[in-house]
Amino acid sequence: MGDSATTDRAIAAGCVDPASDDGVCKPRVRRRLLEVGRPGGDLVADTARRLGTRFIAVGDATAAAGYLAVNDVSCVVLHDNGNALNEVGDLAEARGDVPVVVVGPERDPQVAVAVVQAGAQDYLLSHDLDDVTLERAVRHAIDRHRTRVQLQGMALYDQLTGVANRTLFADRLQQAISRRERTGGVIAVLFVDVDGFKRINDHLGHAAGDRALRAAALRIGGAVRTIDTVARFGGDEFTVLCEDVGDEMSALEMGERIASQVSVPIELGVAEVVLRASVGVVVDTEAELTGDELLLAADQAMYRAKHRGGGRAEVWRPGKRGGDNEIRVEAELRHAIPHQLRAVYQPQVALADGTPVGAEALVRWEHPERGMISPGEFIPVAERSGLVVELGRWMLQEACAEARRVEAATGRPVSVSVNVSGRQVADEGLIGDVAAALSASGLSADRLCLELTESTLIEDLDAGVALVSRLKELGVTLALDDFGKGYSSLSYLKRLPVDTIKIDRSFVSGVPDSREDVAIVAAVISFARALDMNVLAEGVETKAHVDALLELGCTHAQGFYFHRPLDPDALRDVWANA
Amino acid sequence: MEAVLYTDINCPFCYATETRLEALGVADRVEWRGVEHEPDLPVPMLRDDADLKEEVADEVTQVRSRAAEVPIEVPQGKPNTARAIAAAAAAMRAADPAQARAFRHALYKAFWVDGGDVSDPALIAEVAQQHDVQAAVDPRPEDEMRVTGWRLDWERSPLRGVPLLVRSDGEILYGLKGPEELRTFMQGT
Repeated sequence: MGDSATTDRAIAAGCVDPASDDGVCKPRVRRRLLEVGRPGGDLVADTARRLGTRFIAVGDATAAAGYLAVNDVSCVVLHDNGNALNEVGDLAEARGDVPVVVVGPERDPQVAVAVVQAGAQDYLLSHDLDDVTLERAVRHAIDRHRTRVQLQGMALYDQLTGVANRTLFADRLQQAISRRERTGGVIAVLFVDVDGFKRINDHLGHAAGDRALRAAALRIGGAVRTIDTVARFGGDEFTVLCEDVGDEMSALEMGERIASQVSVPIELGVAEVVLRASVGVVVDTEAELTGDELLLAADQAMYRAKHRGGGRAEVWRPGKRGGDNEIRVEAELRHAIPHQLRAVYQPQVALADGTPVGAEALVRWEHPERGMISPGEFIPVAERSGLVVELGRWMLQEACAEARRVEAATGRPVSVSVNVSGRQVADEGLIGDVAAALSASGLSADRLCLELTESTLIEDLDAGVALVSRLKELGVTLALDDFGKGYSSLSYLKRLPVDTIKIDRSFVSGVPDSREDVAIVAAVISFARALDMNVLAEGVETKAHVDALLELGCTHAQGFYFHRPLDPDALRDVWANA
Repeated sequence: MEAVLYTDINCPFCYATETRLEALGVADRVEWRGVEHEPDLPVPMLRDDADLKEEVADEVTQVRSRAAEVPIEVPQGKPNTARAIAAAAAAMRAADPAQARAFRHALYKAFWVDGGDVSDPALIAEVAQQHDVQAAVDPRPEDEMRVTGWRLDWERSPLRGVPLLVRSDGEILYGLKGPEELRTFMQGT
């Protein structure tokens, strides 16, 4: 603004009357200003007059706490009589929502800091304090205190929908479990996945998506009891915590009510949209499950509802789809990513002379108590739970970074292959994840090969073709993994611009003895040649495999005959000595 | 900018001043700085405080007599404006100036014409939606910082009220003024 000296001159010249109320709203504090431990003098009373507020004085913090319990106060001005630290704590305990300004003689800044840390908004030195400074301090204290309360609220509530956030939900769930341990009772957790936002965001914009999300939150809140906690768990996922829900049927009915309410069309101004909710319900009557396990069980039930077409609720029961063990593996895996995961690399070689040309990155889980856990045990769990997206993202980052490290150490280029799961293919973040991994590592895009299974791509061929094209635009190469196990047709292969076909180990293991396997491998190699693709045989373990595959025209291979999966140091040695 | 206006959304004189600046076609030359002159007003807005209602009714009467061309109704209370000011700051950051100005003016009208509680995030979101200023729904820390800076500047002035119009040469207008006085003031910029 213009400098205050000019304003002062304008006032002095009579151009402006600072006391004028003519067409002016003056600053004011409306609720009472409470003075505690008044030492005499009218400073706070004068300040209250300046602020146009009522003024109350009490003798000590105990009296103040009593007054605060039943009266509306804007700010407390507490005179420090040597015990401010304790008194601020007492006042905060009595009414944490009222700011406190301390006035005292203290010249030791550490004491002032301690008083502020105890909850006061400010510590003002009494000897040079005037009503203007105190007025400003009171107004700032009110403002700062409100901001702090708002920030606390923001930390616990979802800003878009107004429902609880994940942190608050976890806290309430833990409290509910503790209460149940003391008094018994039944806890139900509902996991709600709402479909349809991507379409709204894509076609109507993110503002419309946000409005639909708010509407979904309102609908879910309307379908449960007021005592239940609804939380936005992330993205388009919500959770509901219900205590004393009665029985499984009551919880299931609640889930079905949610699914039904969410599917009522939403008017977004420019269009009417319909969302669809899949609801998983878990009811813990025997107090057997932890908070994480309840959430995971509800999540699993939600996926079953989704796989059955969505728009419905499903109840989780132990034993379904792996039961307790799977839930525990999933809970542990959630915490294991990425700290307990290790990437190992199986070299891929030129079949003719065994020269390494690339390496497939494979994940290993080093469990702190159970030791090495087989990928066969945890990958399916990761797939079903959706954790494979996070796991896959980590593998992309790790593999690209390692390939760059090997290149830097050996001066030789390395092509690294990373498996991409069906869940990742369906995840709209895959393209961004790949680009980010390349960018972060500095690996040339043509040295990253993504391995996709044919079953993943064939599920929605048009979408698969579109995805493969977008990945190709990034410059990465693509391999079709486990070829031959699934649909395997030339017509779809022609539409997928992949670079390499990997022949599944189940066929390789049969050559040269099984005529059928030899015929299949020969046909795949013919396919690949006809479409100008490379062929890599998986699971090559013997000299006989090598000879037969060479005779059939296969060019590349991987398997124990050449190399087992190697840790990064060993991989670097292989490359350095090649 | 040629002048700075310190203003509050729950001040009817500020609302009338801004309406007049718009009508004079000079609003685009004025930098808007929202300041809370009553920071302890509760959220949501109290609608049953007799003293407050009487005070607001008196202010509206003053505006009607001094700025008859400005549409204004007697609201049922006075809202806290912290959130609305932050939303306006966010709009100034993210939207073009005319759009941000239209959004701000709509906030004033939402209260002074429609009687809505502009401390209510849902109302702010609705107005933001109508004016396609989505950033206003979720102000960033930098917006809050900007608002704090405005308030500190305003508090340096011995003129402790709003509206306060300060020209770049330091000349000031304090309180609700007539169109001619505003026009002359802005001609001197």
